[in-house]
Amino acid sequence: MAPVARIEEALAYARSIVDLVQQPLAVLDRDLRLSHANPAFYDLFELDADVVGKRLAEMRSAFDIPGFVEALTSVIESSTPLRDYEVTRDFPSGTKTLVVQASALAAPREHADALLVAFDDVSERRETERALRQHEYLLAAITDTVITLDTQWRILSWNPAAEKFLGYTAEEAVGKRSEEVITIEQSIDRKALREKLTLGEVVSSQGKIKQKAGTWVDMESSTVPVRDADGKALGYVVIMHDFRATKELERQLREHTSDVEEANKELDSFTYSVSHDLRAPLRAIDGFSRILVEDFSGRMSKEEMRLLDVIRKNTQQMGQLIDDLLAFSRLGRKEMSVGPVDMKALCVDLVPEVLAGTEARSIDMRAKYLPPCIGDRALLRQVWLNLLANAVKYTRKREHAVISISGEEIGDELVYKVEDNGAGFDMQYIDKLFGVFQRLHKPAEFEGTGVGLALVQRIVRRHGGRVWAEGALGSGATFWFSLPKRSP
Amino acid sequence: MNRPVDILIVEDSDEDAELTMRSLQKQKMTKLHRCSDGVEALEFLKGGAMPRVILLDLKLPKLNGLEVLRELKKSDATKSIPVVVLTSSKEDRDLQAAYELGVNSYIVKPVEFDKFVTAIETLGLYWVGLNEPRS
Repeated sequence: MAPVARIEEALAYARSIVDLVQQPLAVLDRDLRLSHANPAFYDLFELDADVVGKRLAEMRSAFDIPGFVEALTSVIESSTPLRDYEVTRDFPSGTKTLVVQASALAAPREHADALLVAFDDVSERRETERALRQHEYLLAAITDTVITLDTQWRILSWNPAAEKFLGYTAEEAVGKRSEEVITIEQSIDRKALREKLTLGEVVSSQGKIKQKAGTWVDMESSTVPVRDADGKALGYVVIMHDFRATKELERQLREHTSDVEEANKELDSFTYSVSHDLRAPLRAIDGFSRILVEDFSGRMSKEEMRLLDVIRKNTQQMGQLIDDLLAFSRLGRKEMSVGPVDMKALCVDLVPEVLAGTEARSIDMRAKYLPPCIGDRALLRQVWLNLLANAVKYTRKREHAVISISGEEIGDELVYKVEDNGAGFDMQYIDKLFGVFQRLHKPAEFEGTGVGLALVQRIVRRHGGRVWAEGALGSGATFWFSLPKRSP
Repeated sequence: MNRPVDILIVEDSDEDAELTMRSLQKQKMTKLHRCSDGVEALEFLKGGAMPRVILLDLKLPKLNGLEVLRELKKSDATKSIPVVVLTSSKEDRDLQAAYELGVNSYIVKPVEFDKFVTAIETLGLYWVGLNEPRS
């Protein structure tokens, strides 16, 4: 064969080999123009044969990489190959990470000074590596034990938390069958567990696991069967949670709750007895003073009668105080029985009780629309009773008492109002108004224990609402309380 | 016709007893006997006494009011005597128990005559000489 023919035959062979190779290959001439490229190259960069003769940067702007041209040129000139040149660029089809190898071709004379450039698209691999690294950071950061196993229950991975919780290092555990390292007693037996996993279920259970040192510890675990996109089982992930702390907290909570219940019962008992025991001597003081007043009035001076009267009044005051305190203290511990409450009906019911004994007075008490609410009827009754009784009491010195009761929806609250034209109060002392035992009037002016409004506030707050008031000395007072529309 | 009405008062506190008896004695139609505790009261009744009404304090030493009540309701001789319980407050927990034992009338101390009249009316009796209960 003629030398030229031989050369051409050799070339044809070379081309066929290059074309068959899976790896994207390009042959560039001395000017870095494309002489020949294989189908893999055209596929990777989505190009056609019409780019032959062009420079790489002319085919795809992504190849316009600073230093790339120099690197390739230096291969031609120095014959030193370019190895593992990694670059990440945006191509029309997406961002790719490429590893480029280039070497000078020892070529027949016409192709002197040519360059073979091989491209490796490592985009996916880099992506996976990055995901894996993140995954490792995650596993290292998780405080729960995470173990992965294959379908034969051999341990594939063992995170730092697993090392800490179970005592075996990753080196000791990875590769072993799970039984060699995991000894467990749990609420579900192994057969049932494996059956559920086969069905694709995540299985959770509680139990005990033996640490390397031999100690059994409480744990909670979840086992997740892992499948590939086609549903084929790949293995399992087991996550274990150290249950000891939770169990301890649960135990403490139970103890604490029972302590609290015990304390409440004792307190209840105590207040009940105390109030009964306090009432007895009060009865005697009042009763015997009354005997003096009723049976011996003829023989006593006006002053003596007045002194006795003071004794009686104070005794009655104390009796009322005991009742109020008992109610106040009981309130904190009683459970609320919540339901719909017809506030209008509640008020209307109370009117006779509140107006008892006031027949001689002129009292105009009117209730406009009162929206129904949700709450504890008995407690809300107490609220209305206290507010209305106060209004009646503090308007006593008025020739014509006017008490108006109303309610409305404002936003997601229900706001109720009791307004009177009575003695009012000094706004300066507004902070004391709802305090326990706090009074803004002398007992001689208006009797009272100073617990009534405190009780109102307590009840309303328990319902999730607020109380507030406005008053002016001598002209009257207005009290509002709000309740949330929804259940407290 | 106008025989004074026998009322048994079972009350441990001397002061309460004195106040109660004073209130009831104002109406000269009453004849009061007082026992200081449940044991004494049961003995008194065993001896053949038949008061028309028993005023029973719930808080007593030795046998408490409820226990006395149970005894009264057990014996044929005494179970038909009307009982009014005495209590310091209407929220007395023993009141509920007393109701369950068949007593549905109570007085919140101090006992006063009008409270007494109301209490026995609840039992279906009327004061004027304590007529027979209406059927």
